[in-house]
Amino acid sequence: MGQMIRINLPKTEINTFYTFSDKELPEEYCRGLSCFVNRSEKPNYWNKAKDQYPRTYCLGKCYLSPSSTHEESYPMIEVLSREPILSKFLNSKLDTLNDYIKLGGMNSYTYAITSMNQIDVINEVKRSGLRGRGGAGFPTGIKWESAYNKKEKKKYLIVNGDEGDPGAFSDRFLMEFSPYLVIEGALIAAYAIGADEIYFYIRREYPKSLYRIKSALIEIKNYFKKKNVTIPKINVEIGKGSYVVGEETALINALMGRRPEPTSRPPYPTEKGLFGKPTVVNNVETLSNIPYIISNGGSKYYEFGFSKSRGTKLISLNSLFKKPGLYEVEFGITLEEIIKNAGGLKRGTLKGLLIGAPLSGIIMPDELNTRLGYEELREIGSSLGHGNIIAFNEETNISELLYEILDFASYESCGKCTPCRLGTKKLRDLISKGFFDKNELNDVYDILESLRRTSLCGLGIGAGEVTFSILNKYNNEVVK
Amino acid sequence: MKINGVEYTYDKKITILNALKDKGFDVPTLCYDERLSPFGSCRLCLVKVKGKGIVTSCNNFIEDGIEIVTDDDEIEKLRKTNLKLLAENYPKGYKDKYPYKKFHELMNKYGLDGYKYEEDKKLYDTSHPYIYVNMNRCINCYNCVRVCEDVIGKLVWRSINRGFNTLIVAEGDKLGKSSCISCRSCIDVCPTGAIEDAFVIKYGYPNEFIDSSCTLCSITCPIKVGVSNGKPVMIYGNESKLKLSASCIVGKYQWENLYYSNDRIYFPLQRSENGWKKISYDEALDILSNRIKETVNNYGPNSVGIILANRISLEEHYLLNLIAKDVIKTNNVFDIIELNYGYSVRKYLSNLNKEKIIKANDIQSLGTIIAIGDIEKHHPTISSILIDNMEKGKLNLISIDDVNDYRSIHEQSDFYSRVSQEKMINLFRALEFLIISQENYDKRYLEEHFENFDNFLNKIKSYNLDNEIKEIAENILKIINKLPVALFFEFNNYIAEELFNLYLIMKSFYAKVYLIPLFSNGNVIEHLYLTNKDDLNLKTNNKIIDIIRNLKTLIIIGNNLIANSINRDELIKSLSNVDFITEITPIIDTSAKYYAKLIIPSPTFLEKSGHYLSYDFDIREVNKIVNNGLKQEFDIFNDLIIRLGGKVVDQKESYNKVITNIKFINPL
Ligand SMILES: Cc1cc2nc3c(=O)[nH]c(=O)nc-3n(C[C@H](O)[C@H](O)[C@H](O)COP(=O)(O)O)c2cc1C
Ligand code: SF4
Ligand code: SF4
Ligand code: SF4
Ligand code: FES
Repeated sequence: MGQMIRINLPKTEINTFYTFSDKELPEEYCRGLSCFVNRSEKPNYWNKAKDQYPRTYCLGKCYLSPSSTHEESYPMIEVLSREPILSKFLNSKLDTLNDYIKLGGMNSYTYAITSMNQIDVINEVKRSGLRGRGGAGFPTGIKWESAYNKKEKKKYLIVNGDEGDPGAFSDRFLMEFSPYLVIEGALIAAYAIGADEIYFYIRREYPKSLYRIKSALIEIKNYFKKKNVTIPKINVEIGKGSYVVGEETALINALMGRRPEPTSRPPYPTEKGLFGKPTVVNNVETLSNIPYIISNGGSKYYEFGFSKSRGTKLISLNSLFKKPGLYEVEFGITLEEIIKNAGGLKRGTLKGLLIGAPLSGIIMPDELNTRLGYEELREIGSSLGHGNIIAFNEETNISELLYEILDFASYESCGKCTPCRLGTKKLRDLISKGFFDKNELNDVYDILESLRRTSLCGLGIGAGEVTFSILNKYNNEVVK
Repeated sequence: MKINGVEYTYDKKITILNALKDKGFDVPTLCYDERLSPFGSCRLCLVKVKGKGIVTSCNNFIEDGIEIVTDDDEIEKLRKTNLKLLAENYPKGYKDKYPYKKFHELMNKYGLDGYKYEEDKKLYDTSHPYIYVNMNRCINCYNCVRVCEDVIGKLVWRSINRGFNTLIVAEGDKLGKSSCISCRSCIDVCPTGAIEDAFVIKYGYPNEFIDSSCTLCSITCPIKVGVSNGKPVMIYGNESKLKLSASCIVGKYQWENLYYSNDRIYFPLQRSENGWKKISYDEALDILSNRIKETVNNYGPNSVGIILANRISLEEHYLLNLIAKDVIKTNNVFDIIELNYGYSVRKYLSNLNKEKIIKANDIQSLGTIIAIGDIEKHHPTISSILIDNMEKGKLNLISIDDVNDYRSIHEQSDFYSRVSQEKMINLFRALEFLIISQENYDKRYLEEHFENFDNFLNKIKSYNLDNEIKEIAENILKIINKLPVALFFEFNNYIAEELFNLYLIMKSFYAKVYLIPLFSNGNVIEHLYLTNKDDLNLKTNNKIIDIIRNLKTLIIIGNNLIANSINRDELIKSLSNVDFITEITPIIDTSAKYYAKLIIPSPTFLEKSGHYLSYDFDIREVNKIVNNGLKQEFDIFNDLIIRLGGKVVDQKESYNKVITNIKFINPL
């Protein structure tokens, strides 16, 4: 039994889904949460962001929020792990492929295709304990294995460069500073699963990432052509303004020229993905770890981190920290240590942390001894997301914060499923007056339960989680 | 698997929802439709799966040892919350006015109602003659978009914007100006009535429902016809008589194209120098009977011919036989199937006449079905029954056709192959070859049934078949792991013979095998079974068309003769050669318009009563739903009989007589 998938239908109205498919603005102001919590620094920026139509959510400059398109500076990159697995490349100025090769780049791919068979590569990745850095934390080796096991000849790899979570800029700088590393990881992944075609999907808010990846691809193609090595076909697509398109099944639909709505699973992308073929979708950072794993071995990688979270993670810290920027940490580090290394807040006292924002629970100051890990964060009602940490101080009113989050969720909801399309908007409308009335609480809880437990994708689920967490932790501030 | 603690077994991997429905559990759904792939947008079909928590049942599959809870307080509450969100954004006032809508039924079940007081007038679209649109009532299930795109292959419905602002709009903004082909599938899948039958809106929700049967294809579905202020506005299947009855857009909506057609006629018309002249029934029948008498006197009875282009009731068949055989004494009575395929169809059927008949309601007890040809188009309800049983894990479904278009059955089959007709013959041969090479078939059976079996055996062995076909055949045989096997066959002369050979060979191997031919193009199966004809070998379709050319007077009964003919050009030549054609038809169709000298109006199946034969040999009753003074064929035939010097027969008598002629079926 199979479902037919029709692609690239002449449906121009699909463009109405995206906010920026047919629009351009001379300058854009960010409406993201990081810019929200630090809006007092440049109130006019925030006002412009609020007036701006259509909205821009997150420019990946959260280390300088409030931010806009017309200024630029680079974040600090700190290494807190025993070895700079990723920052080694982020911190070296890689202008050309040659710079990368000098650092040992492309050796892993060459080694993989000449000396390892596909299953060896997969086993190495399984051994490393690497889990997806895109948010869901699914074990990468297992994902690859299930695509590898599919009999179909045609398979795809998709590199998810849509990093839409406000507060996150790790994927941005991996692509911008170290595109070769990302591509090498992708080539190895494609080899392991047997994909002869790769798609990069890069969000429109990251024009430099797009440019760097595109030009790196040309260099890499030429490099392997000279060496007479056939590499997969590589396509690059650019986003048009949508958060949910970063969800893997929505991304697949977008690449097929369909409405970028998530698809109810099963079937999973590894069974029936792009153009109906087995497909692996991996996050930019996930793939950036692969070359290290291949050259140093999975067990070496496994030595970093702790518990079920292995290796290192790039943490993005927002502008309210004294030392905002990218931090490469090992899993297991406590949140407290991270904050300490960032010098604490530059203003006010810490009221809470948003990790994995916008759609994951908030962390209170008394939970900072929690260690960084997928399960550990889940336990306190939060989640790792993209490793984006947004600290906020007493300037942030929780009801306003919740309004921003729900407004985001409702604005970015694809509208496919009932709870998210209607529930996020209803909760947003209820909180817009500055609080939830006690009489409304039954309704509010019904809706957030529905969001958490019955939404089709992580957006609706997350909107429920974050509301739940806020009602739990900051109840007296939001309920009257 | 366990459902609410009770053990069940399944041998196929089907969805949880299908398993639950099969066992009679009621699961609320809005975005699910049998014809569509699971979509998972309404989030109502929730169930609890042990170890997984709450999941949507429409797209999750059963697994070994799975334990399911179908409803407890928690599930019901989540369902209700989602439904309530929809209700809060739904206008007031529709729920009670159109209670049968799926969404309204659910609101009633959960004690909800639409809570919105205002409607946006811009969301109305009344530009289409058959389809009424009010998107204030849309709940964004996208069923309309999906059915149009995935099943019909059009792109009329579009979703624009995202999130809360998502709207469904017709391509080019107005449905009436779109590329809509008026199939009305979108009406059928819309759970709210945001897209609704224009006649239901215009005349109102029916105040009574009358039992009858649809005669638009040979399935002859038992139906209920909803009548509002004297107008038939709605048809739905009577599922107590036939499961999934009238699950077809033809029977549910497209009858309106005929019934409400602008080409309907209510008076006899005579061609004159200045166009059509309205005359009375008496005048018309006088003209016709005089013409017949004259023709018989001048040229002999065989110069008068009758073609049955569409179905008439069993009673009417009795009269028709009487007129032809006893009153006029002509041999030249043909039906559209004979016109298309010649008398060999009859021979084919007589070969099968000792076989057991598979009733539509018994399809579920079959093991494997091979559906051959475009059944979904010509016998939609059969196709729905096959798909339904396949989805519920009851049977294996193999579908083979040469249709260059989307059909649900392609997706919903265990195996589907599109092969040209030539290749189909080769495929049948490959299957024969593979079965024969397994050696353990019943040779005696084959020797009885083939004139020279050894010859045939040698022939099979000598076929040079390519590997692609062999591979398809091997796949098919792998799937036939459950008996009995039934071959549902949309009849087509070209492959009929080889399929019959395959049928015999399969029977010699599996024993329990059935061949069920279905006829499209006018579906005049009653005629095939009720009128005996001799010289079965002689009358080919070409010969019949030749005979027609030499007629002096021709009576065409029913509409769409030319449209349903597969030898259109030749037929038209013959028709234009006949001096005098009378057509008895509900609408002015091509043959009436260009070739008839006299048109006598006949009723649609909603304006007449009588009995019809279903493809599976049940007798179905058709009841007069609307009385608008139209004479039905039965009375027209009787009027002719009197005028030609015969004796009138009443309905009851002709029914009793006709029933004794078809002894192999059970009278009512
Ligand atoms: C609403 C939503 C947005 C998402 N956006 C992104 C994204 O921008 N980038 C990303 O890598 N993953 C994103 N994901 C996660 C992807 O669905 C997917 O899990 C991930 O790309 C898989 O790669 P990984 O296994 O390497 O993490 C998003 C998920 C949801 C539910
Ligand atoms: S949860 Fe929201 S974003 Fe996800 S599918 Fe449902 S409506 Fe779309
Ligand atoms: S018009 Fe009807 S079928 Fe189409 S999306 Fe709306 S409710 Fe669903
Ligand atoms: S399947 Fe045939 S008989 Fe049944 S409703 Fe449709 S057209 Fe009428
Ligand atoms: S029927 Fe399953 S989600 Fe709508």
